[in-house]
Amino acid sequence: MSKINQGLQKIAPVTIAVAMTVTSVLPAQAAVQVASDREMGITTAVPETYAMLLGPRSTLPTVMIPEFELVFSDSATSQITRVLKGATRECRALASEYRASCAAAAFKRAASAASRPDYRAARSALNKASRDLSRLVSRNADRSAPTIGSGRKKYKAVKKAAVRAVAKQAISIISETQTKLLRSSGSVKRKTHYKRIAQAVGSTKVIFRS
Amino acid sequence: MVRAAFLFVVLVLAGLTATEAAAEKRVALVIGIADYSTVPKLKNTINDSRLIADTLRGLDFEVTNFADIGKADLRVAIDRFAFVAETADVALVYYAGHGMELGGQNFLIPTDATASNRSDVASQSISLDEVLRAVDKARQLRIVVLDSCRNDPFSSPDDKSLTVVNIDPGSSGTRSDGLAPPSPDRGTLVAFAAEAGKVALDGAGNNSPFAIALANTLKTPDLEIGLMFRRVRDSVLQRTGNSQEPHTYGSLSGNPYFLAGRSAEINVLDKADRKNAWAVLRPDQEEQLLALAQDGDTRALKGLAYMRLDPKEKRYNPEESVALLKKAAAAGDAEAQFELARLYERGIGVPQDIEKALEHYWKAADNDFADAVNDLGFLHFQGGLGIVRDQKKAIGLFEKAAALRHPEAMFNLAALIDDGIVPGKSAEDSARYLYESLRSGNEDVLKQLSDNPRMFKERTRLALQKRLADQQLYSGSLDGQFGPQTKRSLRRAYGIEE
Repeated sequence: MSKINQGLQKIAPVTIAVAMTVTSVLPAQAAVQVASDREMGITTAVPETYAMLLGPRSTLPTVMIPEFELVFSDSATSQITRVLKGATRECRALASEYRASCAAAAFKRAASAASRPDYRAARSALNKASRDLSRLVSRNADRSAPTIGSGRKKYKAVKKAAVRAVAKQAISIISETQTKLLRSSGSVKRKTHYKRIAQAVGSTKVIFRS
Repeated sequence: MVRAAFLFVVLVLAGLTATEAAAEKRVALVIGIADYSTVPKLKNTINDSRLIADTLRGLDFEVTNFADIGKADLRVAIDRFAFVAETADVALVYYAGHGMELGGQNFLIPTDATASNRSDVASQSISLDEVLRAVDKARQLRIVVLDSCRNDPFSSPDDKSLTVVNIDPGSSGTRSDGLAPPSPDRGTLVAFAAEAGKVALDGAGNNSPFAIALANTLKTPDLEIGLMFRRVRDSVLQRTGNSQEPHTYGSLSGNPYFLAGRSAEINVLDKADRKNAWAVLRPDQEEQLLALAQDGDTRALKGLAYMRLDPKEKRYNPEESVALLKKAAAAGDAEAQFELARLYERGIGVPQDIEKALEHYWKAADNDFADAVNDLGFLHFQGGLGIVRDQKKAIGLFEKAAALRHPEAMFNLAALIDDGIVPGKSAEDSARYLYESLRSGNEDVLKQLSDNPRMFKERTRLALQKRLADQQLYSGSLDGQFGPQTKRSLRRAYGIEE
């Protein structure tokens, strides 16, 4: 197995759960269910990427809505998560036509957070997501609308009429990224961060591994 | 610069800053005996003990220093030290005086020993075993230095003059509290000033060459503890024209440890980061480690392996880690077997292989490596890694690990006793294990008992309060309720003074 793949497989696990939900209304804080992860007791962080992109509930399309789930196994992973979570908050606050651009910038920043040698595959996937999202924004750019923000957080608007279509495509870009990350990081069970503490079977007590 | 960068990364990312890092607790008992009543007097031993005491104080040790002490007082001192050592990270005993060996055991001879032959003296002396028991509960590192091979006051042609260090746990028998005898392979070093049967020089000046070498080397910044004793040996050989060679027995754990210098900051890192901290080793010491590894030294093999398991490090090479650990494991190193099992379980540096993981967990457990025993207990209780749930077997494993004083196992066992599923054990036993688990520095226990005391039944809580009161750690009412006073007492038991 290549070192890159193995690198991701270890202390840098990124587990992605793709929750297929066909609904027009999604609760703001969707709980993420990943069967195999549960036993492993992996804690979840859910940057609501789709919410970041799609805006308020009423505009949600009836398509699959992917969600992120990152494993807090170490500081680097949590750094990436922090970036994405922060971006979610930030992007949500913007008007919907700016959100795809905001997402592109967020992934770029997350990629910089993945600077360690073993995060190469993750970095490359995050960078590609950022590039693809930027291209998507360019293709649908609204030249008459102002660019907002500054520095690394400069956002362009897409045409209002294109917002939903852009959102759909953005989702598929992100899904693809997720699949890439999932594939390169291997199966969930290989994650280094197994559960140290568990509720003892048939008891209300907790017991500990070494 | 790279090392500084690494230290910064490790300390900051591990959630510690210089101000937040919990300070280590280092305790030492230093004894020097010169003025013997019937046995020949010694010259430099008191000077030597003072030198070492001062050196250790300079290294932030809380030192208790005794000169010319009799047996009864020495025993009291050792008992007090044993209690204090329980919440210490490092416990060190230095003894300079007469010592002798009898029947495979080593003895420290106090001032008032009056017998005229070896066997009588033994009965009036303190055994090395007692001293080992006293340091045994220290959490990270245990060192006993016997600067006691001056002249043998009872030497005769028939005597076996071999100084034998009895570190085999089996020979000391079980203790009255049911816990196993001290197991130095978990990190206890015994250092003798000279080889078995040889004499340690008193020195021409005020201090012996061994004491001088030890004092100087202890202070050396950024010198890893395993390499430190080697340097003491080399220094003494040099000072004595190769006539005296100090010896060490027992073994250190695979965690790196530094007594002095900036590197000492890594001593307080938590489990995962601590092993990786071998990377702070200076190049010349890493060279030494490589050479030792070539010779098959298992601690060196482990150190090199752990360095290569840190993804933040340029040396990151998990496959090589596996290869190094395999060598150490094949040589019988139980810690290496355990760490290798973990890598197989997680698929790091090697494809995931649960069967091999379990095989290595069992190897380590059969070698009495407590981490492995506890993990197998956990897996059998929960039914993980394809193991069929077996409560009885799990309890047996937890009992074994608890007897080895494994912090988590002691808690686990306490929990199951409280649940009523451990035959023959009572609330008092549960409380005893909870107490010992706290004393061993298990932070999770402190957290569980503080935040969630009702997880345990009232009679267990009451029994724990009684135990804390017996140890003068609690003076509130014995009602089984864990109010602020009880919680404060739990923290004191754990080792937090407020």
